[in-house]
Amino acid sequence: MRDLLIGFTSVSYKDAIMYAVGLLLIYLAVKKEYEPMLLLPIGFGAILVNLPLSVVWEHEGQAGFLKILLDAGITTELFPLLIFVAIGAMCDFKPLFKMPVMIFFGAAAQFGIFSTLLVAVLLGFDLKTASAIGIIGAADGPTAIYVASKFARDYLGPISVAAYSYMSLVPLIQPPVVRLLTSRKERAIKMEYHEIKVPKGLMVAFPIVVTFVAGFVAPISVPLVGTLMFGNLIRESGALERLSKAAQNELANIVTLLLGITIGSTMGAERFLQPATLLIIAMGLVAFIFDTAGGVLFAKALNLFLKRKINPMIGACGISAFPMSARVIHRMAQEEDPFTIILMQAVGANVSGQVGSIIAGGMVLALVPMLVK
Amino acid sequence: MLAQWIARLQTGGDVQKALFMMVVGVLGVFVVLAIFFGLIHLLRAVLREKNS
Repeated sequence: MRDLLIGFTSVSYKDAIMYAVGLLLIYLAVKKEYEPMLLLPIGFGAILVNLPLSVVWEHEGQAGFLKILLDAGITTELFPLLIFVAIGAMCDFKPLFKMPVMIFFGAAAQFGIFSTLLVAVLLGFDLKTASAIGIIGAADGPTAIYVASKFARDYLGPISVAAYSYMSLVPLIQPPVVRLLTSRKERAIKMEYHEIKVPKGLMVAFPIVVTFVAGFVAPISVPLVGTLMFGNLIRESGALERLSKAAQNELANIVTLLLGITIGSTMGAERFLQPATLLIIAMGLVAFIFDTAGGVLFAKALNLFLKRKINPMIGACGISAFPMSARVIHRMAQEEDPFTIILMQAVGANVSGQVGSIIAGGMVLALVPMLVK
Repeated sequence: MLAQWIARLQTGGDVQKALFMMVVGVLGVFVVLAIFFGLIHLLRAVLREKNS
């Protein structure tokens, strides 16, 4: 009789809380459309792993399918890297090639990663965990997952949830920070835009050259940069249209599905329900705020020396959340003055953010092992 | 000298290490992206010449 009722008798209040967390994530995905491709599988995975006996994780000494997926796809770092191939195939660097100077905003807006890392250390996290928390500020889910799977596997769940949640909340997070740091006059600054033809050779050469540079400057970043650039080369070569489409659709969809449910499986009640989870989620927000502030303040600093002023809001687009950040900032500029059109500049900075976040991830991967022996 | 400095950091506290990471990390991202900036200009110039 006890065996028959084991499903009911083995549920704890912590499991019940995790069901609520899973359902909340599914609700946010379905009703609010917050990164539904990731949050829905994560939410469902969180429910599955906390069901009685957790058979999907392990049963009678045998690994369940979610543990097998975790070992095969996250422990080996395979899933995030495959996602990078897909993202690379989706990335169009043309706006960046038209305005290369925008690349520096992609650097400035990574400030949130490193400042949050410091905050996390001050709050008592060790350097490895703090680095994984800081990387939420990359506003780049796969980079956050990749770094967290290397340095803070216990916190993979909260870090991934925070990264994807805040990415979808960019329209709510960025405007108040930008308004706080800029005047109306600054937000209405108009910027000139000249259409430049981008040679096809540049589109093809760029991913190859960037891979070489990353390989020599920070070899540890090659899995991140190399897979992204491989995907982009497939796209830009023009000779592999079928593979490019497969990477953008089939590969992206299948790996996203598996990645999401696998991350959900790391959200076991004992591991997830800790004060650290709340701190991580709070610090993710801090990282996004610092990113935005870093970009805007950098643009304002540049304006001190420039004759033709830059609309400082462009700095906020240096994060990796593409194209959401560019759209939000352009809309803000139009709200100040309907004749202020900064969409192309914003997109250029936003694309730079995608490159910048990966380089920042590479920096973290290179620096942490050097400092922690 | 750099090796000595890093060795000292390795035995130091996490706050020191985090400060180091903050400075070197931000600067490092700027340097790498500055290299990319130069490369884009260079490739654009070279490939434009070839095209014409």
